[in-house]
Amino acid sequence: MSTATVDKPIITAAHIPTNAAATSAPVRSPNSTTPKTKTILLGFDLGTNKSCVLAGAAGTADITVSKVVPSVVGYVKDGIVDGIVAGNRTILFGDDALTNMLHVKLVAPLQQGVIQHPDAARDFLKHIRSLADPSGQAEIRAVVGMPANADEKARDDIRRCAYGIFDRILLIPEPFLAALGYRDDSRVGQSGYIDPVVNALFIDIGGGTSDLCLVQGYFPTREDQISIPFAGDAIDGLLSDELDRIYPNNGLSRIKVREIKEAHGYVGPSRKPLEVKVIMGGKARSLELGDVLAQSGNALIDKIYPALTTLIQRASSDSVVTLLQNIIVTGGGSQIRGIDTLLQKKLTDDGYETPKVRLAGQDYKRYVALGALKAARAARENQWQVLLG
Amino acid sequence: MSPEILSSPTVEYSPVGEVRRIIRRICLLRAVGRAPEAARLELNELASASVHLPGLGGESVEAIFSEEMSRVTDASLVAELMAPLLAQSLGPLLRTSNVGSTAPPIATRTPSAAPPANGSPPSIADFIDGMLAQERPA
Ligand SMILES: Nc1ncnc2c1ncn2[C@@H]1O[C@H](COP(=O)(O)OP(=O)(O)O)[C@@H](O)[C@H]1O
Repeated sequence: MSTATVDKPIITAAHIPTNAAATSAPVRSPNSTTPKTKTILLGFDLGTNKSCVLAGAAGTADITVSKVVPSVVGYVKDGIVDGIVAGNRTILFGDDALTNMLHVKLVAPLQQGVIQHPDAARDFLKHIRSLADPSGQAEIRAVVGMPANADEKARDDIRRCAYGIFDRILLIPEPFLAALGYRDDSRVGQSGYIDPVVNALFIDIGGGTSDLCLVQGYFPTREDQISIPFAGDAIDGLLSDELDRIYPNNGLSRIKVREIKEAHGYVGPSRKPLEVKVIMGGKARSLELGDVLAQSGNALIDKIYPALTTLIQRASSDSVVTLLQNIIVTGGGSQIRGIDTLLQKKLTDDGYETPKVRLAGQDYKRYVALGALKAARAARENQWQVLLG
Repeated sequence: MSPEILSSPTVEYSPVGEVRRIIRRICLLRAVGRAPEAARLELNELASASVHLPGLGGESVEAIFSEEMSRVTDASLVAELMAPLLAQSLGPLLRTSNVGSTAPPIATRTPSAAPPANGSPPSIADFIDGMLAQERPA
């Protein structure tokens, strides 16, 4: 790995009482001693599988950079001949790294939403910075999404990795950012529009965790959030085990199993017969996966549903009827077929008042980053945390 | 009136100051009809901020409540008196500012950062305040 881990004390403006703290002090970046003239705001969803960055100059409403990048760093292996890797680069990121899989050592900086490989995470953040500010001259202020259950260590790890790369940072839990990103600002205040920031329940199904969060017009407290360590990766695990049991020595990799899930996965009653063509040992085979896919998908529902009803019961009696109209499923797991209809049906069957469960839609990958950019634009000067060496 | 106005940290940071700040926000939220939020703040933030105080430096929570409530009431009164006067003097300016003007808009905030109209949710910055208050060590 190319960069050493940084272990620096960090002073955060949030712990400094007056808003003069951050405004008057010049930004001290270890990269440069000259004051920076331009400020770029970054909304950053640092995901386990994919990250999304949106950026725009401070004081404008423009979004100049909008990118989804697989959260992976590829370190080019020794002995790769010139010209094999375009530009003879030694570190590749995202899709570039994946395309050159054979020539690089792939490192995923995060696992289950928290940093696992600090050096790779720093390299990844530098890459993100270079996307937002190719000149390298701007002051970068980043709002970064964190898993709802991230502990202080996980938060410190991000701050440490961001030291010297971003100038100011603000860590905000992802479910809240998703609500902010999903909110249609042009419709806020219109009759009939239920502002998701005022009254909604978000179910974010990612790779490692499913996070449920009540957002009700104030910042969600711990009691408003439930994080379950069961999500897309766990479905892959169940699917893989079942396939091994029914079709021993099938040789299907985890990546292949995930592809099968993404192409055919569903929840609800069995959709048998459901034949899926796969290549096993170089030969095409047709597998009957109707039951296996239903079992693995429904296992997720079994975990999520009790958490969903627990949070609904925590909502106040004045807000719960409207809340039931605004249950939103987001994250990669929201793409599993039938998940909205099944959750809605279960709530209806259990007697909840006209519940409405909807999907965040194809844009789900950008909502956290969009919410983060909105937060960056709205943050007061004294709310930014200054990373100091 | 935006909750931001009174919640800007103008007092020195101290446990008592923190309790006072939270109570002021509670009073303000109540005054603008956002009682459920005020109740939440009271249950969560205020409870955790005041529980760790050895003795509030002689002040009781009730005394701070009544002081802050009267400040908020005074502020509301001033606002009520000032509003028509301001509307009168700024009215013509506001009416003409958009007509055929190429001048940049006065507000530099993006729509998402705009202060809330009455009865609408707190501004995003208020939410962030709420988050930072939760994170703050007791
Ligand atoms: N069409 C789909 N059907 C089922 N699962 C999907 C689909 N698309 C993505 N996923 C799953 O969503 C998970 C990733 O979700 P994402 O929100 O991107 O995660 P994270 O935020 O943890 O990086 C993976 O398990 C992936 O397989």
